[in-house]
Amino acid sequence: MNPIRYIFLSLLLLIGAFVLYTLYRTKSQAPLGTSFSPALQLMGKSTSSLNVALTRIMPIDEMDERAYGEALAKSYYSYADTTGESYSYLNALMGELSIFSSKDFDYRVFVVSGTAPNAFALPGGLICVTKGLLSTLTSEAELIAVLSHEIGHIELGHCFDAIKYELTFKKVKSPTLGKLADMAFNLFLGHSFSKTQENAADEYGYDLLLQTKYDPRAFSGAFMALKRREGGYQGRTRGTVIDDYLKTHPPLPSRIDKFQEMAKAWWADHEDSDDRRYVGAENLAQYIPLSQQSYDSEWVGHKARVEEVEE
Amino acid sequence: MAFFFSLIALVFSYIAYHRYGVVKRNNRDMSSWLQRLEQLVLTLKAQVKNLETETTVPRSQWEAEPEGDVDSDYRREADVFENRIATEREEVLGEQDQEAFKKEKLDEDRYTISEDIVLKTDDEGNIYGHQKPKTAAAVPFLHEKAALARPKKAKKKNELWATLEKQFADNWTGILGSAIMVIGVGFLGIYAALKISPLGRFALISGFAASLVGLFFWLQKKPKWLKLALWLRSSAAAIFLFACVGAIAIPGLRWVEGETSGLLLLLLGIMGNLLLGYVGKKQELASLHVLLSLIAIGVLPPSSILLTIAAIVALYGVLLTYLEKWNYHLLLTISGFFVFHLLYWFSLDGHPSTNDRILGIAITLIIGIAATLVHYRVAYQTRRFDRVPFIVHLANWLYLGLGLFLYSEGSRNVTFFLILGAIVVFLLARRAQKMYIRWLYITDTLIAQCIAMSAIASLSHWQVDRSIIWAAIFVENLIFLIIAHKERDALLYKIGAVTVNVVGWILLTEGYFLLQYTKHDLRYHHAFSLLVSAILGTAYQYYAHRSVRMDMRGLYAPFGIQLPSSIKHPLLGIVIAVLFLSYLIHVEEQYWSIYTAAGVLLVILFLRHHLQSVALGLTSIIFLVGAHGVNWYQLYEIRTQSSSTIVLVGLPLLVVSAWSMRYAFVAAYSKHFHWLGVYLFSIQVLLLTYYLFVPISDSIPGVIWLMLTSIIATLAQLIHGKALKTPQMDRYLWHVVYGFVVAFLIRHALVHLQLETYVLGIKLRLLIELLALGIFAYCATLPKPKTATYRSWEYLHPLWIELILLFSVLTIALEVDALWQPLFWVALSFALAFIGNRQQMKLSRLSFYAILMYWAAAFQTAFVTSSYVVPSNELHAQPWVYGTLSLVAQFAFLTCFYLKCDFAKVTLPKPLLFLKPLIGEVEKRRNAYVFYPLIICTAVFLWWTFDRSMLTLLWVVECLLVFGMSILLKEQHFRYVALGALAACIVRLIIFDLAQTSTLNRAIVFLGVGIIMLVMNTLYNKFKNRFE
Repeated sequence: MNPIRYIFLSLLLLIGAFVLYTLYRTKSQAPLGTSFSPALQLMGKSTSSLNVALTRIMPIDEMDERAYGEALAKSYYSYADTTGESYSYLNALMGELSIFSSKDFDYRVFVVSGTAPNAFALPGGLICVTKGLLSTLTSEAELIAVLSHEIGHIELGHCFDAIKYELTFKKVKSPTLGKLADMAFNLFLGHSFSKTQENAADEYGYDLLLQTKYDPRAFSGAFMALKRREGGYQGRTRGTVIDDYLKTHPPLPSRIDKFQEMAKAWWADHEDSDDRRYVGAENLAQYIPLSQQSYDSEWVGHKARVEEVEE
Repeated sequence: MAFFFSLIALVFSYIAYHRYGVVKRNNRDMSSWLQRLEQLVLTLKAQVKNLETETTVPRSQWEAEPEGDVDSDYRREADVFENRIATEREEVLGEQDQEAFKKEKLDEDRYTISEDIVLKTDDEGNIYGHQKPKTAAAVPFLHEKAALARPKKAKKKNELWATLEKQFADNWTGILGSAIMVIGVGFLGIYAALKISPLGRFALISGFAASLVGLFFWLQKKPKWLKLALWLRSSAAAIFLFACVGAIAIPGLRWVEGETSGLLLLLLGIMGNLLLGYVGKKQELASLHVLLSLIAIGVLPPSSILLTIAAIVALYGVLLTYLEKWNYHLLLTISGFFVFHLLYWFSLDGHPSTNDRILGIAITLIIGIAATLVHYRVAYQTRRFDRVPFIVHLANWLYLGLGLFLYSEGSRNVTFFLILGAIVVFLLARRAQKMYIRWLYITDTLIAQCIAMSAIASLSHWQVDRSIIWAAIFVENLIFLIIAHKERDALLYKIGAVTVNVVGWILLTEGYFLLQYTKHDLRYHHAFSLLVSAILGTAYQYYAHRSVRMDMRGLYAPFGIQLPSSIKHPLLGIVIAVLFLSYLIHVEEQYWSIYTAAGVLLVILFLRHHLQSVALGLTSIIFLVGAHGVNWYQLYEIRTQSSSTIVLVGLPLLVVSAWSMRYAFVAAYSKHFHWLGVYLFSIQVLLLTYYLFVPISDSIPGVIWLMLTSIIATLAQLIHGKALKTPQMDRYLWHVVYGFVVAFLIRHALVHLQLETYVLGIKLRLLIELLALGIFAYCATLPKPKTATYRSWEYLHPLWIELILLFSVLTIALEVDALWQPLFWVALSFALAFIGNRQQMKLSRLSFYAILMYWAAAFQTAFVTSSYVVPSNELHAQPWVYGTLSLVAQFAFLTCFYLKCDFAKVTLPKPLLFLKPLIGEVEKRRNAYVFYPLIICTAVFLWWTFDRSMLTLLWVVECLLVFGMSILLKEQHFRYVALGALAACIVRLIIFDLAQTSTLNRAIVFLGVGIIMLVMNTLYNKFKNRFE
């Protein structure tokens, strides 16, 4: 056999040995065990791209979404709590985040009643957060992470995708038909790329978080808080391929793992720098944003609070 | 009385029949034949006489001797016939009969054969005929002469009637006659019962019997009455016996009070019957007397004494068969005694005492043995199958067996007796073999075999497990096979071959039900039985292959299975394999079990290879595959335990599968069947690595499989052409390579994709993906074997390239940020086009794939990148930058592609021939398919990315580029498109830019558009001839 082949083979085996050694040393385990979820998520990218293309060619744009959002906002103003501390606090935070947005929306956050921790984005720059979420999260950084994720949905046009047929048919005076089309589209195809959209929103939110002063580890921290609220972080959850397909969100353990590693890598890149990031547990407790009150103990560096976060 | 008269009538009818009926002499009816001859003679003589007289002859002249002129010829002819009759009569008839015949003739004055001819015999016995006087007119004798000259044909008797008549007359008249007579006596007795005392009745009946005896003595002298005489004698004995029984037990006839005297009287009656059974010298008579004796005893209240007497009677009956070949008599005797004995047993209400048991068993044995030994005589020597003696012999064994069974009390000792019985019968059968009584030898050998199996079954009384019993029976059948082989008997051997298989399956069925047991003792006992049975079965297979030369094909032919003559016990091979497997399944929770299985497999594989035995081959294949399956299950069960345990459990079969690769040659096909060993070895390695390393990191096994791919591929390359002892081994190794690749891909999709760990700033997952790409490329570049063309190589090997491409695409889609992806697609397009161009012989299709990547880049740039948003205001993070770079790269690609690549030279491997039409279509409109996507996507990108105020200018720039392309490529349609788009831009310029943009923007756009248009004009004028 050709000596070059032997060299090539040796190189490959060497790389392989290195990978094996790394795996052995880190003892890394897949958070979901054997799962189809990542593969489905990857396959959803093509469908998601097609969906984006379809949306772009429709005769609707940002202005339509904005108008839709304004209409929604009016109804939320009527029954959401707009007088409490939490409302002002959240919108103050939103004000800091919205400077990074590319869409010309008036980003607003509404607090809705509900003990379950949840947050959702609506077209036109509206975000709703439940009271349960505020009580579940442990720091302002985590709250920022959640808000960033929701902003990602709006910025990436996911909310817009969900109502594109309604907006289109509205132009031809048949909004009901459009609603039906949206419902059918989301029902049959939505599952194929909803996880992809969630992943895209996660990545946007993480990038947005990096632009702020908050600790990147808060992103995975927010998911961990949600997991704890669900019933404990068990590390691994298993499901069938059908379960994996029908889920609208990627599994929490994989999201936790992903952004934990990303944060670790980020901090590893900034190990030698003087970078400090803010956590803001006290701020959340007091409903006072960082812009108004900064606590020294809430500033962290690379090594600080690593063990606490991993716990 | 009616019966008495009917009896008389019967006697006379017998006499009359005998007088006028056919007399059998050497199976010919001579009497009628002679009569016909005589008639003919007489006719001829009458004709002679008739010639002499033409008128009525007075009566007085009839008595005179014939005289006058006669036709000498007729006379001579008549004389000749007469002499002939006399001669034949003397020849045919015995002396006595001749006298009788003559006497008959002399007694008769005339034989009338026609109305006109009267025959007469003189004192000397000469026969002559006279014609009766007739009228002158009537001369009918001419017709009669003709009729008379022709001897009348005797009426043909119906043969069936003749047979029935003969049977009835010869035998049944005798038997029925005697029976009816006895019944008649009974009625007589009943009639007399009211009149005389029991003793008188007894005397009457006895007297009647005596009269019959007297009749016998009288009639026996007459040969014609001999048969009747014999039946009368038998009837007398039967009647007397009846009288004796009546004297003891029947109300109305009973006069004997004492038991002893009654017994003696009975014995007297029986002895008389038995004596007559002996002297009768006919088996019908013997059977009759023996059965009558038994019936007589049976009528009396059952007791052990009577049983003994019945046994003696039966024994006597059996002993009679030693004198003659009386099989029917023997059958009747033993059957009659069996019925008697059964009734006696029922009278004990199923609870015989010890003495009863001993007596019963002793009697059964004596009668049974005596009846068995009947056929062990020279008289039964024959190589043929003798049906009747066989049935009798079998019936005897049945009675013997049932009799002993009824009296057995289920004690443990029965085992010893059965063993002893088996040995004795076996030796008896050997005796039959030496005496050349083949059917007896076969029968008793099989009986011995049944007894032996029963002896083993009786071990249940010793609390032995059922499974062990069946195992012992299985082993015993193997021994039987060896014996049958040693004795060179094909029939016994085939029977043994069938039974050993049946027992084997029963043994397995036992095990199946025992699997439900949670009690381990039973399972382990059974497992032990299975193992021992299987090992001994294997040992037998070895012996059979070395020694047995019997043709077993006949055994499978009825099922339509055609086997070569060299194959001996294929079914046994399967049974043994399943026995081994069953053993393993029973003890699979004990890890040492796999070591025993491995040991056995090593031996069997070695033996199979050296003996080239098909049966062992079946055993080894089934057990090998099954053992691996069980081992895989074991590994699954212990997956959470330590690595050392996993290695200990998984290692033995790794050795075995490697061993099987070595000993895989099959002479019948002149081939090495390594593939099974190779595949099993590979699966074992795969599973071992999985279970060993998943607890550490669940990503390790996939990487190991990936690395093994390259190692095995290299090994396949090195082996080919060098290892002549293992031809085509490389082919199977390549199959393993493909298998490991699939395993890695599945593992990658399910597990590795979740890896988010970073190492040295790179995601570990990405490192694995790059490693995979490297290994795939390494395998793809390995040269094709020169001396072999494998189908897998022809169909699968070319797809390495496609695998690399797809994997690269997925890796880029997963690892690369969406903004950078179009650039990666374009880079991939460049690479594919370059390689496709350089390696046109094998990889020309890559240029087509390059176009696909380019299309993907164009689509993504236009539709995805343009809508992408980033939470950053920095220039280097803006999507439009990446989009623009991507468009430039695409343009560059197009240029290179146009200059270097050619679809016409694309060659496709066999599995990808379906792409040919698509490539042909693209090649047909090459420029359209290649350039327009970029043109459209660029326009779309510009529209969605940039501000509307600059759009017109940007589009006009694009029009200029397209126009330049038309000049470069000399394509008219590009020019048309460019000019058309330019016209649309001008319209937009007027409608939109003039109306809605700011003054500065308007100025920039107008200036820019104008300059560009002038450039276009210049270019057109310069290169006008290109368009013409």
